[in-house]
Amino acid sequence: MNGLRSAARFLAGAWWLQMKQITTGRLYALTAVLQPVLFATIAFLMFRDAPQQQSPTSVALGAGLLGMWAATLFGSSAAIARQRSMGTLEGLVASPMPLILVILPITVASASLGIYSLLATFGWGALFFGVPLTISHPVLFAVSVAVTVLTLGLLGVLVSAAFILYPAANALSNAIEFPIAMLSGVIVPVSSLPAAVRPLSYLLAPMWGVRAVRSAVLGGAPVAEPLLVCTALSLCYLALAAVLLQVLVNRARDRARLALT
Amino acid sequence: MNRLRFFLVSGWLTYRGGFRVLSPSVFVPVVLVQPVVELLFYLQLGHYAGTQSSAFYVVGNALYGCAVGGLFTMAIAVSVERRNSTLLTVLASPVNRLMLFGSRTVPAFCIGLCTGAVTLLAGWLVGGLPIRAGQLPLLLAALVVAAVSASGFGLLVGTVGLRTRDINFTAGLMLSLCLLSSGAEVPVSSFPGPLHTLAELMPMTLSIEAARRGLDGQPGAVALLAWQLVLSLGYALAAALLLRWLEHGAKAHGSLEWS
Repeated sequence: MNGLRSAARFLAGAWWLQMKQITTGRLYALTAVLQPVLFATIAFLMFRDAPQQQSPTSVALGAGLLGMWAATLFGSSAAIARQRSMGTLEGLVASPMPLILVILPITVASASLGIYSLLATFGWGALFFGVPLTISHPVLFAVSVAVTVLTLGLLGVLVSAAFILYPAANALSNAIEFPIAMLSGVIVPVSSLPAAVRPLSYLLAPMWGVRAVRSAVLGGAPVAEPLLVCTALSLCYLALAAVLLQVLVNRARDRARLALT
Repeated sequence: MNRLRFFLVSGWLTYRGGFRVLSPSVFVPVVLVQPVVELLFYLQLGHYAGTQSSAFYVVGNALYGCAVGGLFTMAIAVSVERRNSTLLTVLASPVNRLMLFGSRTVPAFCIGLCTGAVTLLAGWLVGGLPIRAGQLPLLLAALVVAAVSASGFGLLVGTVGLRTRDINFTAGLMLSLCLLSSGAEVPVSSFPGPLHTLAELMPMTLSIEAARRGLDGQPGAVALLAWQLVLSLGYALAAALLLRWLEHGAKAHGSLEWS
């Protein structure tokens, strides 16, 4: 019980420290605020005269969620690479704290920046594109956003674990930003994807998170079911990331390849 | 002849030594994969919205793809010297600055061209670009002009690296502004006033419009490409002046090695 409490205290403290640290970086501001606003502008202009009507609220929401995913990827892919470049990775791997507990606050903090993305795209949309600032289920919306942030953070851990031995993790993360966004249905519904790739969407926790957030804002669809699926899949990611991280770290230590030099 | 050799070899060696973009671990995801998945994303979005044809997005994204390699790698051409602690040595050398940093536009141009060509090929393969053989020369010319323009604009942005600590932020912002204002995803004609003005100053806007006109068989494509080249020359000239001014200021204030 004491171990659990100290781990929770460590996670909360590390998350807060990471939040304070990354919010001072201008690149994070670009990824989490400016780029979602610019993308939202493109999407608003695309759908303004489109035959396929998409409500401005839905467009703002989609752009904000894309920003949330981009911020997560940006932080997650760099989570290990930054430790490596600062020369602290070996020390962290050798410390008694499991590496996953060190990485998790970094990726969750990056995903938390996505809240700025949502605020920015809604604010921008309300100012220039007539987005109404109304939320059908405010409490469920807050819960859905929190769960989605955690989900993206956990997916981020999986990403950083998968990239641990790749020398240019940032470059690789750029390449997976759009495929995951498409499969998660951030702007275009999953139903419009080719049938062959749709099963992949159902395995992505962010897809369920996006669905829950969208339902909470727009109303007319259940919120609890997608949230439950999202949480269950996220726990699977956590278990998978823990195993993957351990296997890859062991392999890197065996071959003395942790520094990738 | 020696100057030309210096120009080509210097740029190539700098890219090999100072940038990681030529290593497969960066080249494959950044130059070959990312532009293609970005194209697929906007194709899907465009199909769903139903406003424009597939060819509209393929041409727009392929020519915008030139910016990813051309603009971004050029933008960090100055700051990479600071990162490697070689900026002082480089600026202490008697070599012409525009020659030195301008030589880096050649590999940037090649990378931009490669990115654009790969995106165009991917668009053609997924069936989004119905093209006749007669239209190919103009499309390739538009691609070349877009790559020239992107690297010229990148040189201008990179020059700012003498003054700012965080050129990656500036380069990323410029790249995003290019995506918004170049008309790659939304026709420039539908832009509100201020965005329209910005579009006219950005690289690639005219190349994209020229390529689309060429595919639609409309006149005026060659004139647009010529204007884009004039604009690129303007970027290079502005970069030369800015470089001289910022170098003088940085030396006077001892701020060359800001990091």
